[in-house]
Amino acid sequence: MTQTAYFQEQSTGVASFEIISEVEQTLYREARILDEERYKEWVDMMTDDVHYFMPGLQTRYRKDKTDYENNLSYMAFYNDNKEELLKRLARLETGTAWSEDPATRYCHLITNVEVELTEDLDEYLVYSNFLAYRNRNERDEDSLIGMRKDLWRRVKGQLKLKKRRIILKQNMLISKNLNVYF
Amino acid sequence: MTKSSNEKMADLVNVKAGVQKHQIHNDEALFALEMEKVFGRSWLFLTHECSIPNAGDYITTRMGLDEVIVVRQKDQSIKVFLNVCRHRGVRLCVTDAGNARGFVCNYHGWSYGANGDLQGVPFEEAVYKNRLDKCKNSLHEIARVESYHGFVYGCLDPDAPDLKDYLGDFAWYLDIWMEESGGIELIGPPARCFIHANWKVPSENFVGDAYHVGWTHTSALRSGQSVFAPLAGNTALPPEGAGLQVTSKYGHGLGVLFDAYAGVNGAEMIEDLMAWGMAKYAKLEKKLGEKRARLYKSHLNGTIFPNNSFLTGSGVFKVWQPHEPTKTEVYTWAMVEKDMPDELKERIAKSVQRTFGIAGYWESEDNDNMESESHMAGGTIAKEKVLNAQMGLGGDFQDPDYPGLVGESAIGETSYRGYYRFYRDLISSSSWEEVNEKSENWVEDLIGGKSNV
Repeated sequence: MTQTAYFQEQSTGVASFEIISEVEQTLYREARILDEERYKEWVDMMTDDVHYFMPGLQTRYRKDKTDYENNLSYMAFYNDNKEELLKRLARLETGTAWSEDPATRYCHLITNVEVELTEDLDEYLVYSNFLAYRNRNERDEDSLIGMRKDLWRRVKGQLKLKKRRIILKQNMLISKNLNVYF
Repeated sequence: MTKSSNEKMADLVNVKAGVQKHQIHNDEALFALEMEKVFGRSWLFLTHECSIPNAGDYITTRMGLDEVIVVRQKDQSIKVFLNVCRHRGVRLCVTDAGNARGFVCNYHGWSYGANGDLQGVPFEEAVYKNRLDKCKNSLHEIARVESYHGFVYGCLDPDAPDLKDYLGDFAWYLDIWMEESGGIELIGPPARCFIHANWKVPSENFVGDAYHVGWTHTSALRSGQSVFAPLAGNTALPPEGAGLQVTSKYGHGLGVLFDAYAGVNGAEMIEDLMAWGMAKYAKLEKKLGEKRARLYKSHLNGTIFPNNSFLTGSGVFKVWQPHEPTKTEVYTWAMVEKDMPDELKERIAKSVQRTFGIAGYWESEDNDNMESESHMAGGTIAKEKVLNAQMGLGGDFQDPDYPGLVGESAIGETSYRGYYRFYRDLISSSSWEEVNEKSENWVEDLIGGKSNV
């Protein structure tokens, strides 16, 4: 199967301090919104044509060039458009998601932010790393660590997430579910 | 007189009363025995042929606590080896999947062909002085490997029945979707995660628990608006005749919800899936008759004993791999019909990961229950108490239209009882011969049940 790269956008250089600072603040605000489970506001930070992607990975030898990071037809943890994300999140709003009550405690740490310009002056390629900690009841505890590559687009002056690829640094999730967003 | 260990094992399950001791879900000694008597004797799912189409294609997986390599051979046959170097016992292949002419051990460099032969030993002449018999150091091969409509299973016990006999009455149901549908493909690689639950807890849930759907999955039913949505919040029960429960001699069991082909897939998939299912049903009806063909366009939840579960229609295919008494690795594939257009296959694959994948909005509620049921079995007092699987007890019967033993209504625990009846015979026997002797009267065993025993 021929694959096209998930990100077609090319970097045309490093963004200004002003833009970097704006993007960083946006990422931190997004993390706080996720920690506080304000999911409606989170989705409002996205464009209507957003794609949210977290591929599943396999352990293979280095010489094996099987590319899961760009292939949307393989198994993925998340492979959602806006409508599909909303459907997942709607589950939490029913008040009957038993595995979320009592609530999970979340904390997202966002680091290693890099912002690059693209040919489209309204769009930025943004790299970041995350540590998403979660804890629930007595025994459930996870530290999920990974990298993100995003495309953020300026829409009517506001930065909106248009594309995000999340690479979790585990080929097998060492916990029971992914009730967490990155 | 003290009881023999086999008799003590048999006491863990009371078939007549429809109960099992809670201890079965969290017990070190029992777990060790299960690895020997359940996983050492049963047919275990390894892979689907479509995952290793070409010579040299391989995947690594588990058979109980043993790790194995499953390799496609030049003659298209499939061989399975213990993933262990014959020299000092290191894990030979350290990847999940790939294509290889052979495997080289990272420790001293012993190399094996894809057929398992020991081919290369570094400095063989100089260090072994021609005294190493390489023919006697091939990889340990798992002798019994059979493909059932493309689904590849292996068995470690030379005395076990053939796969077809092992599936028994259950094959009649499997054949409808595995074969008559035109065949099945699994879309992988499987999503993998660990749950802190005993391997039997999800296996028993899939074998026959339609009861939990309306309550456990209230949130998924409300947000997903699948064909099961009317069950949300236990506001409705499937009416009489809406489904079927089936169990069989060797513990395989399933539940049917008639005409619910679109399964757990969300509202946006229902129309296209039902159209696909109905069109194929029309063809199958002529060949299989109305009753059997109807099962194709229905939703089937089932478990092939001991740890291989599926949801037809929903497209979910699972293996629950035991690691520890309360630690189980979950593999999840999407299951599609071979003749579906690629676009539909991709939509189903996406949908499966969204519903029953690791981030699935159906699965997350289940896993919470699975872990809880296993954890609570660690209580000193709790583990001595029994778990109740009495729903429909005394009402199971043989139906001339449906092989196996059938429950009296759409929702019940017939298949739980059938699953644990066979489990009891396996863990309390010293050989397959003894298992078969005990299981000979399996129907009478199950239909004679009374909840006041």
